[in-house]
Amino acid sequence: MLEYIVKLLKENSTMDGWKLEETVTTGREAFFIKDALQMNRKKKVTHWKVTVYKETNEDNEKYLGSAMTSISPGDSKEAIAEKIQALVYNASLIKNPYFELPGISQEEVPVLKKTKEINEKNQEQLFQDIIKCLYGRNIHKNGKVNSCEFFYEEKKYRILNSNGIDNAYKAYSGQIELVVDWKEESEESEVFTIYNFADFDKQALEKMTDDTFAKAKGRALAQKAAKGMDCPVILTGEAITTFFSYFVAQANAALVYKKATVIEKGESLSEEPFTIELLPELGNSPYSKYVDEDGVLLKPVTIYKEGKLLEYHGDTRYCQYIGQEITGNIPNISVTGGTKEKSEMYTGDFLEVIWFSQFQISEVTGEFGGEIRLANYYHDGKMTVLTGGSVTGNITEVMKRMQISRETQELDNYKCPVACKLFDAHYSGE
Amino acid sequence: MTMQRESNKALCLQLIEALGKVYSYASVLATNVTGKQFAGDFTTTSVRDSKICENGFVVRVFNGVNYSEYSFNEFREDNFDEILKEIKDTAEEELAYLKKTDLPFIELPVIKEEEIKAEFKGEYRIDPDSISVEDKIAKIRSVIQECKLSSDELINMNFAYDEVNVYKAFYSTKKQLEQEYKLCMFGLVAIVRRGNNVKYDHTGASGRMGYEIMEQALPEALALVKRAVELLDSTNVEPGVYEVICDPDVSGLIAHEAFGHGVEMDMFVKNRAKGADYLQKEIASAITNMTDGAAVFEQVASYYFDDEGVLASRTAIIKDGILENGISDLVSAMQLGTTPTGNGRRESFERKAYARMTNTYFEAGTSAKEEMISSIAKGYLLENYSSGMEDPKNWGIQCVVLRGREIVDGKLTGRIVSPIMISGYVPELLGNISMVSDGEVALNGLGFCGKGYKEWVKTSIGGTYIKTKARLG
Repeated sequence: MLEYIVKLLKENSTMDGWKLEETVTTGREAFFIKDALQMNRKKKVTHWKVTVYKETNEDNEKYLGSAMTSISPGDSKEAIAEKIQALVYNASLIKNPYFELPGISQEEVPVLKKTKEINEKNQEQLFQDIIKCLYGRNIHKNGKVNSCEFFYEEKKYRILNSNGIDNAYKAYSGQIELVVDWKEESEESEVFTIYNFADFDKQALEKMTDDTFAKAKGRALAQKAAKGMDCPVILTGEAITTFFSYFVAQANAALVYKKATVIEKGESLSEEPFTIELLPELGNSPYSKYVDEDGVLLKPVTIYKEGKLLEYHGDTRYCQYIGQEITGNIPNISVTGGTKEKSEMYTGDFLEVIWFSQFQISEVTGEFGGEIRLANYYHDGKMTVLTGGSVTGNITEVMKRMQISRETQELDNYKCPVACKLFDAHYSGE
Repeated sequence: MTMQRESNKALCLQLIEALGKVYSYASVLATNVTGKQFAGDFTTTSVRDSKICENGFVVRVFNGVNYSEYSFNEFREDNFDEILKEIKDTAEEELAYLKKTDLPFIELPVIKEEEIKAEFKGEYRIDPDSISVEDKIAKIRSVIQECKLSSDELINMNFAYDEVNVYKAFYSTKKQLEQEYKLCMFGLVAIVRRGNNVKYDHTGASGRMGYEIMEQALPEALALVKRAVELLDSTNVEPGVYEVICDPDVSGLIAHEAFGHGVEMDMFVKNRAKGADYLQKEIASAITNMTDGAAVFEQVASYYFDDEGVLASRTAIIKDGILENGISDLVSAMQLGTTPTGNGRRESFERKAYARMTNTYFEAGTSAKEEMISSIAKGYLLENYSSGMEDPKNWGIQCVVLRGREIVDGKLTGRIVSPIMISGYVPELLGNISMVSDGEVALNGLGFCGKGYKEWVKTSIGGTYIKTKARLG
């Protein structure tokens, strides 16, 4: 079918460009309640996305309109032809600022290291090993796996365009949703974790499982947060990735073009000389790729250095709109440059938040916040485990004095500090 | 019925017949959801498929112990045997691999169904297909342009209009169900800026309806810009417990996030919901009534049967402060020995069905909104939500609200705080509901609801104004 779609696109002289994205997914899923299988699932699906571009001229100004549609294997040949012709018409009605579609690169698309390794493995065995590994850590007297869902997919991508791009790659991705319970004298507590990965990493999976149990135990033993604590807040875990996503968004060409950013290039943002790099491939990230959805070959790019915005990043279109060299959409993020060891940051009175129900930040306003599900409060040399209350603030007010640890961790598509200390966040207790 | 659907129906029935010879239960859900999103901002316009489009099949079979499913989207006469083989492989070979984990299997009964054959069709006033693409684009551009002229502080506005035609068919040995209806919705985001102070606000409208939804676009957009500009003067709320009035958006968020997820009965099966211990017990003040149902309202989560072939219904979750019922999918209901409520929903044919909310809201009460405001000595009128997160086991609340209008001595002072995080304990918040407004119940279905961090489906939330006490931060 792909060949048929390409043929239609190539033969259609009424359009000025096109792009075709193909994704073929095979996946297996298993759903457990406690330690027993409730349901298993498999899938095999193919999706095509076609974008058609059409140039127009008005008042000596050149515009490029585009329109996109999905094509399913269930669509008849006649239906596909009709969809493509409708795309041409719809694109002709749109007058967006002009940009050039990417062309062929002389370089080959690198194969992801993880893909090479996983290709050698037996997929059924790998899936079994993941399940057995996780349940191998279900060994606590007071805590048990409540439920667990396992997903593992192989995805084959191919991106073609009218400038001759024909890039293909394969990637694997796994996801585990783990819920554990812990019972102490108080009511049973629950902790919920989503773990994303490319390959089965026994050590990392065991750590994730153990950490989830540790959080559940902590929550079961935690006291209700008191009011009126005025002390620095230390973010840990996923909250740090969310926190730094603001900086990545503020450097995004689309947001810059839409005038929704406040960070200027070269502006000194923080006493901490942090560096943010965008990386096509990172450790066990399931999001790694060397080609973006426009077919652009991706390379590492440094967007912040020494706490200052260095370069914008973004897709073909918006990079051209702001006159920036095209970086493509790069999937992984590395945040480094902390000047302090974690132990140096963990001094005096402070609140270390282990787990938020959901830590959120607005990429436009910089406002952040989250409800605390588990935190350690250090006061006068004593530690109290707390639950409840919330942390709020605005990144533009806290970034100047923030501290980040030299030690880093890998989480999803981030390599980031293990701790981020904020002196100007607000804490509201129960 | 289109030729494609006729052909799919014939193939599905043939598949059910073939599977029926091997398995004691087999069903197939066929989906064909098509539609477009027309969007624009200050300088660009786009036309693309709506995010909720899907086109494929999911088969469920009883594998002798419990259930196996296979999702696919390539189904023709010439690959019929291949599909049959993949289904058998999922229910037999894959299960054999999973047995090697040495973990037990949950034993489930075979689904029992009543014989039913029905077709359902939704109604609308203006068929979106009767409006030209040119007119839709022109409408979006004109709304943005009028908003642009209305404020110098508006730096951008995103306007996205989606029109979707939903067709779903469910076939099993005893059931042949088909439904087709239209969903239309628009979402608006206004970004305003004064120096380095950037704020945004959002609004929109949605419904199981036609293009008539766009009649609301311009007035909604102009009002939105005014509210967004107001946010530029907002300050932080002083953390503490306040008497608050929640507008229908915020009360809907509380109904949905703080409480609704905890009565999804797959959570009862897993012992993940504290709500299971409160059934038939007092959970809220006696004036509180909360409802969920795909069979009530013409909203984006309204349908005639769910993704497991169970007819839609209306569930009274809280009645006069008592937790009456949960909402369930088919498999959970079997495990609990209850009647499924028609809440088995999938993100798409590619995902598992879970117990999910549909249209969830607080029922109307007897107080006038003005009377509610005048009853507050020091507090806030909370308007519009940003997000929320569930905690069904421990009933913690995280709801982020965009705007609080200060009330002092029964009057709005004009001071605005933003953003505001509501935290606390669900039964306390529900128990403190002291007034519920009268009038029409308003629902809004702009967002997607996840189960945890995945399985996104369209839901609508809302209700009336409620007065309660809440911890704001």
